[in-house]
Amino acid sequence: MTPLLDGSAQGIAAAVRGGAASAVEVTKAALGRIEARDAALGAFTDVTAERALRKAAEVDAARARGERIGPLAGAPFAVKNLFDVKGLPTLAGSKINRDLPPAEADATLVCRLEAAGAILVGALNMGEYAYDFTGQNAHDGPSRNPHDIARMTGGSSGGAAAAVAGGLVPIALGSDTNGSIRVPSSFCGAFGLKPTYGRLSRARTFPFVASLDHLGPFARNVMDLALAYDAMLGRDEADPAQADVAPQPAAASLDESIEDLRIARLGGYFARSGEPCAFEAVDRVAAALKVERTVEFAEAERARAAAYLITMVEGAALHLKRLQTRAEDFDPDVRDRLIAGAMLPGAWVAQAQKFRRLFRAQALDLFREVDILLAPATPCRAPELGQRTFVLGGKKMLVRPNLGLYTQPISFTGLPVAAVPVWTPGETLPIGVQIIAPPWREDLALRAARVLERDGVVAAPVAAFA
Amino acid sequence: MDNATRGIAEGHNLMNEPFDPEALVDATAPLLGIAMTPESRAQTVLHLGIASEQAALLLSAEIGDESEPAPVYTP
Repeated sequence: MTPLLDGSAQGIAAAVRGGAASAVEVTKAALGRIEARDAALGAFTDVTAERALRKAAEVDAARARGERIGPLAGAPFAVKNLFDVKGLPTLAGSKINRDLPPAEADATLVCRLEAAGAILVGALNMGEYAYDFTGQNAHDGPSRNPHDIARMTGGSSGGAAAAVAGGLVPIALGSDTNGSIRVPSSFCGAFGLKPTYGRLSRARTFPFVASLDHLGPFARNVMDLALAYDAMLGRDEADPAQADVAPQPAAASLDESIEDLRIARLGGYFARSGEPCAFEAVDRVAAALKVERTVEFAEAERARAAAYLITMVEGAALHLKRLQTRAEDFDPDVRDRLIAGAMLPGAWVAQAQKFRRLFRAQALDLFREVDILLAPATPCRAPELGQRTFVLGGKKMLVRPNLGLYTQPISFTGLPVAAVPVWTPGETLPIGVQIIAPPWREDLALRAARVLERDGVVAAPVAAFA
Repeated sequence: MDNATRGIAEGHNLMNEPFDPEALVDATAPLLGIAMTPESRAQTVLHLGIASEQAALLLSAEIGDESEPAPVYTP
């Protein structure tokens, strides 16, 4: 079963469909692997073994009856613990939410992956209330980077990236408000997709910043990322923030040529302040895609500032009652940022929302000239667990708020991004590059990622820690 | 607050106009009904300092009076 578990979700589904393996056999093997490896990684906070085996048996029974089974039939997946999973309290990485009653229904995206035949095996560790770029958690302990368990996974979807990179599941779901899919993708060496803002339903997930919250998948290859994304597409009346835009599946066009795409790298803000490895990774991707052009998002730094303030204020508003009544039960690093957010002048965030529309116009202007933009995903490789400060661009900064330096301006505009992991020869840790597409064109970002994967420029191997 | 963190806090150049995060914390914490430990207060002051830097950058943008904010509410 090892080759199947180390392989792709698509491969598992093919084996189940063809009768080479049953969904129950795959699920039992996946549960065994989680049991064997998760103590080292801290990726899971709940393992839903009974449910998983029941669902797997349903897939096998459907196949036995000759029914059509889904494109992800039998493929294990797990979700960041801010997704509702029926029967579990939705922790969102917190201590406080442990007092909530169990969720009465699954999140829409969980339902959709199960409808495609995938098997939910558990819920994943995350930074408290998603206000985190480190993957550390004061209550559950840190998720650990499978490529070096003394290092951060990145956050806040740290458990999701660790579970995928560690070979525990081929697909995981996370959320990304300011970079929480793309930062852990970069640190753990997993492919991640942050779709366009408003694309995928957020129904029955614990929110953070309504203006900026996105959900999306992680995988170890681009086809699995596309298959998971496709399975989750579609209108959901339960999510009032979802945009009324027709779904555009990506898997079927994944191997189409990108010869006609105009690709440029982002300069200016996205070419300074990081460690050299961040820019070398972009160099490698740009060279492989024969990119010669550099363009600028002139207002990126201000966009990041606006995202920073919106996050503080909306996050604080969400948690104000809990800050008043249960301050001692928060992770102090999260709590004090939220308290500060409650104290900010309202005019700042109103201005930030106005600026967001102006920045959107700039982004759309830029995409009249290009089809794909390249930028670093993180300013460095994974820091050590517990590291609180680093020096970027000659300035000493806090690690926790600044790992999203390059991701925040992009999610602020809501643009879709595929995060791809680059491995420099001789290095044992990956670092990610953002492939950024125009609104609603996730398919273009994934096509470019696929070319890079095919040419061996990016990869997400299972970590050899076990 | 550890030394590194204090260094960052002290290094913050606040906005052009006077911005006193300590005064802001002390004035608004009771208003918000938030009880703070000394450690929490110090960290909150630090985060307000960072936020004020971000705000200074944002507020220096020329945004016309007629600019619409990004969220669109559709009744």
